[in-house]
Amino acid sequence: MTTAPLPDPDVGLPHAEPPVVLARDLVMTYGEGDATVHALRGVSLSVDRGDYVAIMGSSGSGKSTLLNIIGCLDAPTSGTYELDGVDVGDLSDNDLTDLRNDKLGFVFQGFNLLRRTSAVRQVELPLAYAGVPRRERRPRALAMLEAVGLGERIDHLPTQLSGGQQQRVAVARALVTEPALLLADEPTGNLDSRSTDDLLGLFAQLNSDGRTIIVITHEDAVAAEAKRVLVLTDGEIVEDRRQAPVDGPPPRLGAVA
Amino acid sequence: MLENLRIAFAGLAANKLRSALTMLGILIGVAGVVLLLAVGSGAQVFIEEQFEDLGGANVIQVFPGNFSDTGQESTTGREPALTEADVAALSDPSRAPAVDLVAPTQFAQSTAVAGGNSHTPQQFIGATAPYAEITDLAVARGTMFTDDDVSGRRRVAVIGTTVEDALFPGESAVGQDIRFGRATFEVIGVLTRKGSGLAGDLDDQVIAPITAVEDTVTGPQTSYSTIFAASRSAAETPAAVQQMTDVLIEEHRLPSPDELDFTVFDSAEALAQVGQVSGVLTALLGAIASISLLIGGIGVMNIMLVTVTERTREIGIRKALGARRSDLRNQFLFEAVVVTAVGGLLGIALGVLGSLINVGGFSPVVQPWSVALAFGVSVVIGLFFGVYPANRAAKMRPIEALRYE
Repeated sequence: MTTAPLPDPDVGLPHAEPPVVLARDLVMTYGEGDATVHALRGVSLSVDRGDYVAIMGSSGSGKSTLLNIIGCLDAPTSGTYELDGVDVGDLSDNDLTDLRNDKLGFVFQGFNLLRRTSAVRQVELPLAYAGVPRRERRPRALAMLEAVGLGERIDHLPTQLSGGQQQRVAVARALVTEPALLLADEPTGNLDSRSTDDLLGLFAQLNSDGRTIIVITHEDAVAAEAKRVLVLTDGEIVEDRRQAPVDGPPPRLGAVA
Repeated sequence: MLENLRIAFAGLAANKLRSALTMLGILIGVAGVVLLLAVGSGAQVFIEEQFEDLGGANVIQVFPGNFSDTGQESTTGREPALTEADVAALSDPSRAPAVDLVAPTQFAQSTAVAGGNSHTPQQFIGATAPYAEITDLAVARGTMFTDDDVSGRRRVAVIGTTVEDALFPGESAVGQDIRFGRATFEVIGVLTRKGSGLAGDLDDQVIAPITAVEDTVTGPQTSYSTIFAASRSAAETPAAVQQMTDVLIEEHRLPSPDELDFTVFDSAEALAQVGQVSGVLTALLGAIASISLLIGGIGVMNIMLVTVTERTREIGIRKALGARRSDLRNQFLFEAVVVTAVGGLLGIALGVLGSLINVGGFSPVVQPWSVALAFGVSVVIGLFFGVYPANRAAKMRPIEALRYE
């Protein structure tokens, strides 16, 4: 069990705090007959609160499929998956949507910001879908943009922001609902080296503040920042390496300290 | 809900030209519906007014000959005719109790000359005194001719203002003489101005005692041109028509009521017929406009499908961020409805504006119900043609939507 520094509403209750991600025997196949593709061949995974996990693998290794299942964007062919204690297997489309809104924050490789929508509005959007009253949205969005270091350019459109800034907007948008898990798919894939470094610094800061982060990447430099590295090959986890303890600082901050 | 509406507006604003063009389709359709229905009901109002000018709902006219069978000679072997005996019979209250007034008329065609001026009136009618009352004619100056004038075969005339202006420019015609051929008539009255209508210029007419007209202009005739009659009230018009028909069948000794040698025609019936025709016309115009509205609606669906496909990635992002199916469906449905509702409102404005233009002598009348209908229909079109694209957006799987390039 982990000792996450996040304030925990369940403290004091008799049951133990569940892992953020608990997957058992995930199998994913596409197609039928001879054309069957085995994207995942029985992956089991448990990620504790406060961990910073990098999932590595070449293209075709199944890491995107795994991310989609963890992100509740896709359902496995077989196997069970619990997100923050909730079994997602039987959930309806709407319940899954609410779960994503409540417990997950996505950061994509292509940023995936909405066109013609200002930074602050992008960040307000998940709150709007969560039903947060309008008056509360603006201050929360502004606070989150401040936290990712974008306090000034809040009224800019995506096209008026650099790649690094766009990705910060995306991070702010992912985190504004205070999700249990930040899920990043190749977040540095479209960034130059300086922006990459900035973003990794932000991730380290967020993790040391108690955020649980899973990053999909094929870059060793990104994986080196995580507390734990999973390597996926042909739909199976072939390596599970811990680089720093769950309850300590991430490697970057640990090294500085 | 409110949030989705706001997002929908933002989505429309993002594609202004496209939204405007889609709107244009609905706009034209709605404007067409409003305008064409207005033209239709304007025509109806116009026609009704015309009939009121002709004397209202209790005027009955009898013509010699049968209008319904063409070219067929009368079975009696006689030339169809309306005679003095017919008039006497129709005037008999015991035989036609619903009939109030009867006036035989003889239509003449002649050029009037006065001083150096000449003018051929559109209508030159020889009639008996009740004619003026039946057809609701009144004199503005002077007097109408009387039964005495008719029986005395006096050569007097009452003329319309158009005739007065043509023959006596700048002066009053009352007391002056006009000549038809070699006969001289004294103008004793000028009719109240009526303006023009379906029958042409109602002020371009001359009325004179039928006896004097037959003496001088037409010569003796075997039949009256038309017998005018008035029922006691509009409600008694159908009864009067029936009684007159029965009396004339008897007078003419017709073997069967199916083979009439005369035609009875009342303006209420004529009005109903014309009303029916113009109602059909209005419906037809409305139908044509509705087709353009339908096409506009299909245009909305077309564009919404394009929009949904084009914004697949946006849909994926929104789903990943927590937009429920209903959120996305409402968003796109709102977009469609906003397009059609705004297009509808602009179309109504255009239609109302267009209906201010005078078409062919009458003004279109915008019916409030047609405005409400057009707006309602445009909103319904947005809903109807927006549902399918909106559901398509709502049902997209986020993973596929996100992968879409």
